[in-house]
Amino acid sequence: MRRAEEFGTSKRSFWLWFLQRVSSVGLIVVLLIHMLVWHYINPPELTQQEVGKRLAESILFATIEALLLGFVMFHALNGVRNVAYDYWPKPGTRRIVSLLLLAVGVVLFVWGAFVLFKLVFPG
Amino acid sequence: MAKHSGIPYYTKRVLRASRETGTFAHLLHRVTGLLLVVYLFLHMGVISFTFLDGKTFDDLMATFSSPLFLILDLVLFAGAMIHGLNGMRIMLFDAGLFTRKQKVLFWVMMAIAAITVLTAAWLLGTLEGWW
Repeated sequence: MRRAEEFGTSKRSFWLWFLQRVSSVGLIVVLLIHMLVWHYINPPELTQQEVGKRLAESILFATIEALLLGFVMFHALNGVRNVAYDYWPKPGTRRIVSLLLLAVGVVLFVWGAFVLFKLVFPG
Repeated sequence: MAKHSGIPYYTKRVLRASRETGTFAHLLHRVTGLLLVVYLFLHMGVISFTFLDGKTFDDLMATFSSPLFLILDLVLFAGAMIHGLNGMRIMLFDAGLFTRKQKVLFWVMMAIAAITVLTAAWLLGTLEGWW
């Protein structure tokens, strides 16, 4: 069991590895839509009003933006976790880093979702 | 085990080995990944101004249209392309493909990245009337 944890073959590390792949493929698709909608296909002027209007006029696009937020938050912070695990092999340190990154991820996701919600439904 | 860990130890080892294509790819993936994380946090922070303070948001967006920030956008685009294309290379290995051609595949991916970034730079310069 100790060996399994050291070499990252536990059930949890499999799922994190797998979700890192899933989110990366998701990111390619969703990020492309993000860039196209904001900057290429009839791009809105980047002011508070225009940005809000673009999000409010399409629930589908707002949903895609929420999906982007979820994918990118997981992918980025799990990536940082992978980096940290290379530096610190001590299980205690790893646990602290993992929990810290999880907390940061949850807070930023909730914050981002709140900002998005406020733009789609102002007032 | 404790002696063989920590940021200085790990960094020294990776830098020493980074003349090898595979290690260089690993290092590049890491550096671009962390760059993108920093950008993500800045991006979310700036977008938050849309409903906190509209005037500040509009002013910030105007600032980001200046040539300096457009060049930085290009750096960001390069980072994203390198990270994404090398990520595809990693997933091909996961599927058991091209593992014996990993060095060639790395340079193929970097060539694609270079072409897209140069194209983007040319398009940006054309739209901005830089040449």
